[in-house]
Amino acid sequence: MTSSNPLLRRSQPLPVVENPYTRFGLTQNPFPDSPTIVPGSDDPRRNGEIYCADLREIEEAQFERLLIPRVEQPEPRPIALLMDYATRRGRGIGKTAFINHQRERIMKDLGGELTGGAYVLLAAHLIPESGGRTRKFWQFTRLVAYALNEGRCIAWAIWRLRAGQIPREVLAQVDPQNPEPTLGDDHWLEQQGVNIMFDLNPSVERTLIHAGVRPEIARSLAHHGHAADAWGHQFLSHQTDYRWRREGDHLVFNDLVRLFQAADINKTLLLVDEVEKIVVPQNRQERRIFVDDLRRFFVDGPFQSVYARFYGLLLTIHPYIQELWTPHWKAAGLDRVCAISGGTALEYTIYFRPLDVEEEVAVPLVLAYLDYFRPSPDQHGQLQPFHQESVVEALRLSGGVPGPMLTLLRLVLERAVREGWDTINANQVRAIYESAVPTEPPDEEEWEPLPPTQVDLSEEG
Amino acid sequence: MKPKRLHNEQWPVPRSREVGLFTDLTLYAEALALAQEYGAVTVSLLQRDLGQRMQKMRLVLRQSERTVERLMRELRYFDWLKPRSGSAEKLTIAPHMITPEGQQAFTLSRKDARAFRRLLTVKMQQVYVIPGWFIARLWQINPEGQGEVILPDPLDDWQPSSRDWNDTTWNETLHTQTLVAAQQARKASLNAFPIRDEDWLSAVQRAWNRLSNLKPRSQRKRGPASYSPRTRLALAMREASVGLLFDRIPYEADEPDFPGNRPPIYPRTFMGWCPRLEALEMIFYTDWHPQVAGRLLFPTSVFRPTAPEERFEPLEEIRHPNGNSFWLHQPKWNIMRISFLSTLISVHQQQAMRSGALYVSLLDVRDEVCRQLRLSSLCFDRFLEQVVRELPISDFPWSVAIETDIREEQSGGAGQLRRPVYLRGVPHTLIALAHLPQDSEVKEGSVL
Repeated sequence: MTSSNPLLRRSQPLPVVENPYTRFGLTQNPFPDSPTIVPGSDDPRRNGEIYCADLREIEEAQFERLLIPRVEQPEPRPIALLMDYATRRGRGIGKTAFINHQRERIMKDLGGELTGGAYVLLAAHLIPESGGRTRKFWQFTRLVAYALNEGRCIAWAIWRLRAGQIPREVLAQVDPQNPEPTLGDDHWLEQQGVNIMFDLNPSVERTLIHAGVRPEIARSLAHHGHAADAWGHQFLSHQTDYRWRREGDHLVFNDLVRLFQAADINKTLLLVDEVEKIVVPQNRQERRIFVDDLRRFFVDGPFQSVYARFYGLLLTIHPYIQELWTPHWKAAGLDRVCAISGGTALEYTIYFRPLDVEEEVAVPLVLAYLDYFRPSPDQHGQLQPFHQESVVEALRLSGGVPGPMLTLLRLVLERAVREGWDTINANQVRAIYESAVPTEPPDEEEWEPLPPTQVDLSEEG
Repeated sequence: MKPKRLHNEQWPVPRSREVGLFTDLTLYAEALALAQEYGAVTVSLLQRDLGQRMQKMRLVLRQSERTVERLMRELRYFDWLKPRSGSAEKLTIAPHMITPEGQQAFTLSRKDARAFRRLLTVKMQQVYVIPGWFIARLWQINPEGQGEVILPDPLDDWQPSSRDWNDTTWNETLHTQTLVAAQQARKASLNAFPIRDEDWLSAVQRAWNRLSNLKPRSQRKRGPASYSPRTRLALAMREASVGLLFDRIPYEADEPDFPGNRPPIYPRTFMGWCPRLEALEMIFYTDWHPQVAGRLLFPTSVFRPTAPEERFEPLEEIRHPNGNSFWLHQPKWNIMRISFLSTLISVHQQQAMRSGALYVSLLDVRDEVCRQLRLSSLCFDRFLEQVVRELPISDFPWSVAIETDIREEQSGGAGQLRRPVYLRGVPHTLIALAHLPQDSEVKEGSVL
């Protein structure tokens, strides 16, 4: 009875079957089934964990040159652009993976390696909401606040403040690479004898107020900022749209900057993905206002973020967005801060182009995925079951865009399992490409003939 | 094989080809009113005193100097205004007085808007010849389809990214899009685009090359210019289709419609004539038909020897060179009632099924009803007012609701220039029709 009762039936453990990918020396199909990077996902194929940095060395060097402060370059650009030059070939060129990778590079040691230890940096990955829900600047400000919280930037600042105020022997137990389970856990700290309620939190609060953070915000940050979920629940989710419109800029461009400065953090990079979701739904006036506000809050307005040149902004655009923004950008005078078009744009832009269709590019990218799912390190570096020319062919068929190439290889590997292929050659990849992307049939509804007329103006009578 | 026409069937050379591109016909009456009031008017005075107005759904606060100059020139052509004696002849500065004929026209505009429209039609025919010729040409292009013509645009699902201004290559995609657009037009209405593919391709490519050789408007600004391939291809298609279909020699014919070598209509004046002829109730056109990518236009008038007067209104002053009279399709409500109601309901149902909502675009419904019944938009407005007054009624137990909400596509861009449906002067945009259960209360009998 229990097995058929929908109120009581439990899912059954999956029967042990032979893994079809074992014969290729793989634990599963290593290529992603999703067209996008989902940074919070557990799946390494989707969360950007598998990343082949060598393919984007030029772009990475330009990213560092434009946005990362160093001793020899203490004042990087306040605004830079990441230009997708492959939109015609579809999505999947790897912008999101690139941004995610840069964020992780910075956050793993707070920019220690990148800046030669000279600066403390944070970075947040911002993905605007679609449907015009990020077209106003106050909505963008809210997005920044949420991204700083969910990206653990605020938590890192609080952890650093807490680290300075707890006993040395307690600090010695904290994993500096991942302080969340310790410094981010009030219960753990209390177990170590730290008085959270009457000692640590009030002390952090006083430090923040002293740094110029408004008392209400300082209190909230001191009590909940160490845990992103808690601050999101206790503070951010209670802010109404009205409050974001009136005070959101004060929070993001004054209070949070003072928090970061109190934690001795020198700069925070805001890596904004998919700017088209902001710009396309905007009307002409909204575009002008938004660009004016970018200038005000990042370049020359009366805000702590501007005084300290605290935020670095990377905007991911493509040529259509460039076209929409150019007149407003120039009217706002932002061209002198970050040229969006013209010859000097090279000095502010990371150009993201399709990959070169060659063996030196295709093979390392495919190996990055295959190696991750090899059960034994001895098998690393082997392309099996792919022939070398098959992966180059996949890249060629995908127009040098890695996303579609990986999707194609996933389909190829699925077919290889289904049809019992031992190896995969270029012809097989081509055959699947042609069958996998059939021409879209014409929409029957649109192609219907118009109904006949009911009246004939030329008939007699 | 098409019958060969005789030379004496040619249309006369127009007195002028300098037609104004304004499409609001109330400007004529308002300018006459100002001339009557002030004794004489100048271009600058008209520009100052012509009131603000809605052009379709767009507010026009002030007419441009060029528009007012053109208006003044046309009023002179119509002999409704003349320069004050002794004053300079120059149009832009001379004070102009209303003539006795202009006074009659002004009085008519106040008393009977419909009769004033007819008078305007006659005047435009006398000066430009285009109105009558255009109707005849539409019927000549597609006689089986009652003059229905489609000027193709690129399909909606083709949304390429912008190109650098110097990248003018005519590539495979443009080639395909050009052909597909023509095929779609023919699929929608069999003879509405009777151009051979090779002629169409070469004309579009020629127009594309011409447009590609123009300098960018924004060249004064720094930085590389870019353009939208979709917009440029649409412009090229419009230029090519107007050139092929509305040249002085009809497509695949030998004899010209006009003496001389000048084309009767250019792509630019074509864009001005369509709304004018639509306002004069001679044609109907739409750029928004859901089943057509491009401009669908058809005549709501015809040249024929005779016609029943309960369905047609003659304009004796306009005649085809072959002697046929000109008839506007202006059926009376009692003649059209059943077919209008049934067509309105069936078109609404089709649109509702397609969109999955009871309230659908009244403008889309209007376009298709007018196409099926060959009605002008003014006729549609008039008949819809009758429908709202009558329904529900025993032989049509349907309830109707008309709403004035501004739809998203009408709030900006080209959508603002789509003519709304006016009921008692108020623009309406949504319609819902619902079948009532048998026992619902309906009005008795039909109002005829």
